[in-house]
Amino acid sequence: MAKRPVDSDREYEVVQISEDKDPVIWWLQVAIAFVVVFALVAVLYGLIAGLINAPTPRTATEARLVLLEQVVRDTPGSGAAWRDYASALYVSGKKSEAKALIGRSRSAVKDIDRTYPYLIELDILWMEKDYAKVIKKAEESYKADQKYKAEFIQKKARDGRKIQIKDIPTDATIAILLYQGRANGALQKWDEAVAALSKAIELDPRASDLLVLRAEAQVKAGNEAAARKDYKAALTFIPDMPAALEGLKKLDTGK
Amino acid sequence: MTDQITPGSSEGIVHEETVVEYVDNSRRRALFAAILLILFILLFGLSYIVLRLNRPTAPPKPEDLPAGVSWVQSIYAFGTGSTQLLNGPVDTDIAPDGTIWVTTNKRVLAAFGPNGQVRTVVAPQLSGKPGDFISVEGLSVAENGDVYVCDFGKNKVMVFDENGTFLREWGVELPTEIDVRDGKVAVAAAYGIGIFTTEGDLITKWGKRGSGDADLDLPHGIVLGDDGNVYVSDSQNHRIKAYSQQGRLLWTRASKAKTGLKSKAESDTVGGVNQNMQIPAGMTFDGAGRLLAVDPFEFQVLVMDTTKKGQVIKRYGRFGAEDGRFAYPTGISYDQSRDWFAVADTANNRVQIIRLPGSGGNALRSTLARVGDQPWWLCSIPLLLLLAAIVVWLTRRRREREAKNSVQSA
Repeated sequence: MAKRPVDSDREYEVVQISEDKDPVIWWLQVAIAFVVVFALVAVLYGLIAGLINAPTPRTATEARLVLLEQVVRDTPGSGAAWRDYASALYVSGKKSEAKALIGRSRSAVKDIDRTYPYLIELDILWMEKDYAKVIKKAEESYKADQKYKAEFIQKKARDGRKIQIKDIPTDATIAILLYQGRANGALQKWDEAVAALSKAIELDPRASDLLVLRAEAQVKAGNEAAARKDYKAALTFIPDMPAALEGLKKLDTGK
Repeated sequence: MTDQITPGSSEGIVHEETVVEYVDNSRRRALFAAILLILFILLFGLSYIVLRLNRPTAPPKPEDLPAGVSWVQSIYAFGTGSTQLLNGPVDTDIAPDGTIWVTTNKRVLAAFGPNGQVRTVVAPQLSGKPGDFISVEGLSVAENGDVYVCDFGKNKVMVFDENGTFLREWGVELPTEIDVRDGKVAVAAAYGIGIFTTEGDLITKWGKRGSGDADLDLPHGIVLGDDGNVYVSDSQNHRIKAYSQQGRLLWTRASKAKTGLKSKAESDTVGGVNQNMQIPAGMTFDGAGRLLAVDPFEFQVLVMDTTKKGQVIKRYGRFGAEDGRFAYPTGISYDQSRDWFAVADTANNRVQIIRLPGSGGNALRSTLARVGDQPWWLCSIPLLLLLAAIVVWLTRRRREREAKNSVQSA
């Protein structure tokens, strides 16, 4: 208690009340702060120690991701393994993790598998429906693929092994050209689509699905005779192929 | 921070020669509140991350699930590596504390918490020595937590404690399924049924292998009912049977569709529900007292009414690899406290935890059980804080009033 003049004539006793000096309130506030800090530490510890994060797969997608991750771990030099893993991650909604694999795969793969990081980028761009970027990236990827193949042939030649370009697997090259063709088709650039698919068919002339795709692009480009030829070619390899039969029927009926 | 008397904000009460002034600590209080708020936001953010982490990747959409089936989660592995993925889970049973026990055709006995986290893994050598496995099949968990396992290849029933430690074993020729209840162990074997004590002493046995009315052929499901009867999936004879514990046949529910290879031309519908069963396997009772059996070749869970001699009253499930569907399921068990089923979805290499309509019996108890498995514990922290804030606020008001009153009365 302090004494101070409040009025000029009289002196009053002044009582100051502050809840900060109230021990009950003070301890209650401390208790709240303690609960908050304790909860924070508990949640953080749980996260760091992996107690909160479920360690085993709970869905078919999570189980598939475990398997694909293991394949990548077992065969880090396989571009196809990285591509499968990245696609599965992206489809399951882990987009940033999928994109991170582009860089990781680039530093892990060698020789002709160096094309696969490009394919991962193409897969993601395609799933994002950014067709203009797909076309640009496919052109870049195709050039890189041809360069890696040439380097591979030279490397083998230095080792005394003579390899021709036809001896090198074409899966990745066809996948690039397929993206190029489909993206051009999505943007209704039918002539460019036909050109890209033709390159792919040169690499795999018995691929009925490619023939049907090119036939559909030919129809859109107004080349019905070429389309009919492609549908028929597709049916020579898969006689009951529904898409080819349907395409021919449409050409015949004009619908 | 220094306490100050701010004339403009102080409330003065003149009481003869005393002035009571309430010190304005608004700055200090604001700082304290700001710190608490920041901590609270941090806590909220972390809780959100925890919820996101706990949310399974790509769970099935409710509209894609078979009619009536609610998917809770699947268990795919007993570790983080690809070599620890479940391979052909054969049977499952749920302990009183909610632990889900699983046997696989790769000689693994594993236990999982209700949230799917691994608790125990027993993967002994391939041998006939005590405690080792040759070909484990059915299992059952006793009320005390002991786990009883059939080893078809070793011709033994083996007992483990709740930590997976081997306790004892006894001989039974070609045992396939087992159920333990009230100190009795019912074992289905290729050549009949046996009732044992938990120590392995035979109480009674009946049946022989065959296709006659009194015969059994590789029964892959057995369960002891509340009524004391023994219910058996006579799998290769495509029927379900009920016996008294002395082995007297009470009823048989036989399917008119004999095998999956023969056409099901003969209609067998009762009350609008298809009664056909191909190879009924694992069995359990739910909280409503209904008998359930999985049929691997129907890819379904059949719900039966034992008071109507096993009439099939509901069927749930559809073939598929997606979560919520089945591929040759062989085992099923029920957790009353959570009102869910664990199904050994054998060809999909997983155990699925699902819910089915009407399984809880009591609607209120069932509803409480079903909401109980959500991560509500995360809500407890903000609720606790809210409660504490209310207590502080009320206490402060009460003490202020007491202080005023005491000064005024003085």
